[in-house]
Amino acid sequence: MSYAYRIEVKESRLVEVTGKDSFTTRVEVVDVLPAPEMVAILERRLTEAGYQRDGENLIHRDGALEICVNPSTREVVVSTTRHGTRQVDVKLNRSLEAHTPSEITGATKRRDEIRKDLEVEAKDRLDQQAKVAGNLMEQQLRENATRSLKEALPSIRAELSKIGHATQAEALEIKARQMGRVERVEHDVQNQSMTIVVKLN
Amino acid sequence: MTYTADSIWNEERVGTARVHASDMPMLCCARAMLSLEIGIPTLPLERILGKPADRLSSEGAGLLKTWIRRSVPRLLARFGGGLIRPWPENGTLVRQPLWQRESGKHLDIDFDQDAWNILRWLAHLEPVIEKEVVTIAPVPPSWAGKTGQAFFMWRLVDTLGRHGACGAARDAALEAWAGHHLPLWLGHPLVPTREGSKPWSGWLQGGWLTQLEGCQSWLCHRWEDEIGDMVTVRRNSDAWLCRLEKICERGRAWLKWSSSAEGRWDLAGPLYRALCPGTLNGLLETMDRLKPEMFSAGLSQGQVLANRLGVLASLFEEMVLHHQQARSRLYFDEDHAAAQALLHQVSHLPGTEDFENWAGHVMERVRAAQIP
Repeated sequence: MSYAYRIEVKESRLVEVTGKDSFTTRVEVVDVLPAPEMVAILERRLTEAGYQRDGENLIHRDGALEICVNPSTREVVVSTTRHGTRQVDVKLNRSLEAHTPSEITGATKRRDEIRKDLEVEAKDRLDQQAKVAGNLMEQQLRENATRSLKEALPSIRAELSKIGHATQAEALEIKARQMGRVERVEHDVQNQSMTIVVKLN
Repeated sequence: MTYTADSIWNEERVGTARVHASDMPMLCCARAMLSLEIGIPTLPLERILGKPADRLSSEGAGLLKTWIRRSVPRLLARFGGGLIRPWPENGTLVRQPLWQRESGKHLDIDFDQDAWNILRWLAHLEPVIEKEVVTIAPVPPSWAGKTGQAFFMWRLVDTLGRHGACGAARDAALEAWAGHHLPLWLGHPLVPTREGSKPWSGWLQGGWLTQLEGCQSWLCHRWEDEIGDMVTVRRNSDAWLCRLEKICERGRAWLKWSSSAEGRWDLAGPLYRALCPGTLNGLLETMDRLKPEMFSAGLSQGQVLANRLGVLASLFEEMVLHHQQARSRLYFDEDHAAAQALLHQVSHLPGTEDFENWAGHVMERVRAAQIP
């Protein structure tokens, strides 16, 4: 009498990957007042625009997009992150046949040995496949992140430029008042320019 | 056995001279080095005839002296000295070619034993080529101690070809000499400068200054070649940026030297001419073409590469500053004439009459290339 055994091993893993990209720029402001005053004005303008304090930085989040501004250095880091998961499965099987009484007697032990070998092999394959899947997914997520960042950059730049100009305008007005009597201030918001007429002391 | 060699091979023929066979390698080298062609390598080492002797026969020596006497002034005239342009002389600006100077002794370039050693090294060169690697005998001393020696160093590097045995000899010579030879250092921005190089102040007098002033056109052509190479030879963005960084670093060093070189502002003229719109527009277009490649691995990595383009903007910022400093020299300043000579050159650049406007344009292009 012959027996045929089928040994099957399954391993699976959930691979979690993050793809991110970032870009660094600056808020362009000329120091017309001492540094601490310039920093305070910039912080106030950023807070008014919806940025929130996080340590020495001010941060604005919009979904996956994060804009982090350091008011002291005026450095801006714009970053976006994409998360993804993928299930990776590995299934291995092997057959075992026993024809003679001695083979049948030793089949259990043989079955266990084969199962252990298959488990080790399945883990190795799972590691390899998970690595490949993770790398591919990370690349795709990063490309998505890059694409969304590129799309968002023009509006982010425009917003930072507006905040920079507002900061500059406020600093110039304060400086003008220190120099004399301000007779007239005209803002041209569209062209982001201003005119201040000062009667000097 | 004797050979005949033309006493002058270009425009004039003054008869022939009988020379010894062993003179031919030395005379062939000298003939190639004293050629009037600009930038065209004419010295095929493999075709030099015979085994060179350690010294020339009296006929060969006489012929060599004749060639030197006639060719050196022509070479200096061809490579820059012949331009009718303003030269600072005794505090005034005089429009004349180089050789119409107050005293002829300033043109003296002495060809002595040290100059002879350069020629001898080249004629005795037997490159060994094994597995495509070329090895040559060590180059002569790396100090340009005499004017004739410096002149031959310059012509040797300019005459040798770029490939094979010639290329190996040229590269070895450049590496050994560039740190001690101002025209070679200025004209080959990619050759690194060794530590302990001699200061350049010695090049501002006598025969040294004659050579420097006489190679101003050559310097401009050299930089045009280097920039042209950046346009025509395909490289990945990292390799291209490495070359750009080296070229810009040398340009900045050139400006710094000229503003401190006893007021010889005009000696930076070739740099301005080489970076005019006609030459640089090709490089700016290449920079624009490389931008997608720089940002192909993401914005953060692309920004690291793109930030390196800032070296070009920095060079032009320094040129603007250099130009403004030259403009600020007053008529009673000693270097006023030299500053005016530079300003005259800069106001006549091909493709632009307003250098600062052109510089602003370049800096804007760089900034645009740095934005994804």
